Amino acid sequence: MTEAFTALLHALGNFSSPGLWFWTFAGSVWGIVVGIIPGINVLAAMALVLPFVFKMDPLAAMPLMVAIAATGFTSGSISSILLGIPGEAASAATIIDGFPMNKKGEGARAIGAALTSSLLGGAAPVILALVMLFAVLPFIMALTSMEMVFIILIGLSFLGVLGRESMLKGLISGGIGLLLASVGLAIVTGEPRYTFGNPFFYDGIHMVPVAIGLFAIPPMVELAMKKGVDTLATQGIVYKGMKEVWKGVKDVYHHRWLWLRSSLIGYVFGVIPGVGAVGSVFVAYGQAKATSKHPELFGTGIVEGVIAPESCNNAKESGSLLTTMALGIPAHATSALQLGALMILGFKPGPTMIKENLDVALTLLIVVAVANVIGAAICFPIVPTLAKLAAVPGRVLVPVVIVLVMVGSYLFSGNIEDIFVALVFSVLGIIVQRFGYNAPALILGLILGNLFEKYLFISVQLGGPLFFLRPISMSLLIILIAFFIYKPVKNLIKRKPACGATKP
Amino acid sequence: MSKLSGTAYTYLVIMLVMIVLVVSSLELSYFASKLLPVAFAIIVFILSGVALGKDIQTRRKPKDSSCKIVTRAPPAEEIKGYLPIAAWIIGFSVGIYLVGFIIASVVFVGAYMKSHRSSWLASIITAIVCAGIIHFVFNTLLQSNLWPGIILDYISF
Repeated sequence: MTEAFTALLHALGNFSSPGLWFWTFAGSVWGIVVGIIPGINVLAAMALVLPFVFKMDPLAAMPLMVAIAATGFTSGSISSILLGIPGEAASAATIIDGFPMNKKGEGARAIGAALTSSLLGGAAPVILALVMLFAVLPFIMALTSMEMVFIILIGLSFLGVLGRESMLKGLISGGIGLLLASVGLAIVTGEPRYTFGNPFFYDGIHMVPVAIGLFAIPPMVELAMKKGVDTLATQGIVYKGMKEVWKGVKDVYHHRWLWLRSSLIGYVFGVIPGVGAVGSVFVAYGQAKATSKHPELFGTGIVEGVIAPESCNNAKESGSLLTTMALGIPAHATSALQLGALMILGFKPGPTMIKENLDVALTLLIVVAVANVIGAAICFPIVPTLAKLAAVPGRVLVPVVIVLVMVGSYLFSGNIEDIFVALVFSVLGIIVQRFGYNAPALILGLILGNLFEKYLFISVQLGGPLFFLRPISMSLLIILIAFFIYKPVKNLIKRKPACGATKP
Repeated sequence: MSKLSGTAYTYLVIMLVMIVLVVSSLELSYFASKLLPVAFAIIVFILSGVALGKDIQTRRKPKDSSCKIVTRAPPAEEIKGYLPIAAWIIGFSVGIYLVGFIIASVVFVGAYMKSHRSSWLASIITAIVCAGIIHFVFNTLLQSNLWPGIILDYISF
């Protein structure tokens, strides 16, 4: 407990560094800019920054990555409300009531409510995350490589299975990711695998060009293919100024229990791997409607319909960051990239990070709260300017982003071959998107593949082939098996007909 | 036999790749090197096989009115839609390799914008500003030494 308290003091001490504040601010700004532009999402924003992360100090790089994820969903509400176009997929629920509010002349009020909900929803659950971290500390300290084998499998399975598309496609994606991780020198024996005699592949396939190819290029390809829609802003922006914004702020106070429930939903969904932002915001919206005194007004432009999804949206970040750092399994796609960044910087997410770098973990959780405050402080005064960003034409956005992604792919290792890797994975990313596979599970498999192999061999060396008979390992194995057999058994009992034919 | 869906073809390709992986992994010298690739390749092969079977079974069943049918453009037309942007990106990548990031960026951004109905002025200004920022931030500030291009490297610029 003393160590934990000392780590907390160190974490707070880290905030005396101007560099940390600068990069948190930079990440918040970048997250806000990207969040408001439809067509480029938070994942792409993080993938773009990833190549530069390894050259930075860890306490500069990680606040940057964390702040992007923390604020990227905040500004998405602005384009949802003012333009009826979600800046982020997770802002789709906000359109349902936010855009009608704008049409009724209450756009500024909706924005005030959205930004306040995002701020409070993002900052407040950090306290819960800190408390949870201290509460589960003894459990985390007891984890060894034998448990980590199953934790990695559980994380991959959850992310693969609970994703938007079919369970099988998610598992196939995760499996392909694990296979991609085996390219290079085998971690146990040093023998080259699938390198084709090319020294470029000895180090394996780098995560950064893969992330860029999977997440940053496909949205630009999609945007470039949209015919006749060169600009995404199709209607005028109605905005009445700060007085109306303040009404929205007061609305959040009047509906504080709704904000609290929605934030809790977001936090819990953030901790559980695989559900994703989009699923959680619609759950929050649904509970707001179910508990409202006037459910029939939802969809016509009611402020509760904005408060619920926006609180939930930002609340999940602290939960998913906690799972990522404490267990080494990312809960969502954004945390998969954060995990990758932590590993690039030399950290070992999971029990090792909690044991050796608890102060860094605590710092990053606090950064989530700070970034949300910065994000709200930036957004409130400059909403009309931010709204104009959403109108950046595709013919400008596409080439500029593609230039940035190519620079980023090259910069990571200074090898021109990484551009080729990014291109190959952009084709794969388009195929993954088109046919409903699971890109986050794929990249997670790539990130965790070598770790999994290492933990497995250490476990077998220490505990023999039956290493999983340890109590915690056995419990995790049972959870994994139960997770896989639950749905098929449930379907067998219900005998649901198969559905979902798709023409080519 | 009814035509396979696009998804079914992806399953088939994955299964084929997994067979190749298993065969090539078995040729590795050490057991520890081949264990995980073989194991995961077999698992993915089985999963793809099950998914393919389910897909074929679903397509054979009479269509239920409650089932959503997603109608897409014919594959040839869909691929045709990707070709222009693919050509731009591949052309830009080749340009990077030949003449380096800065020159390739100027040409790519300017040409793309002009071909998409931007004015000459807007295209040129955006291209130069974009390349200028990249050169300043990466070459000057961060000393990253972006790839100069084989042609420029050869003539020693």
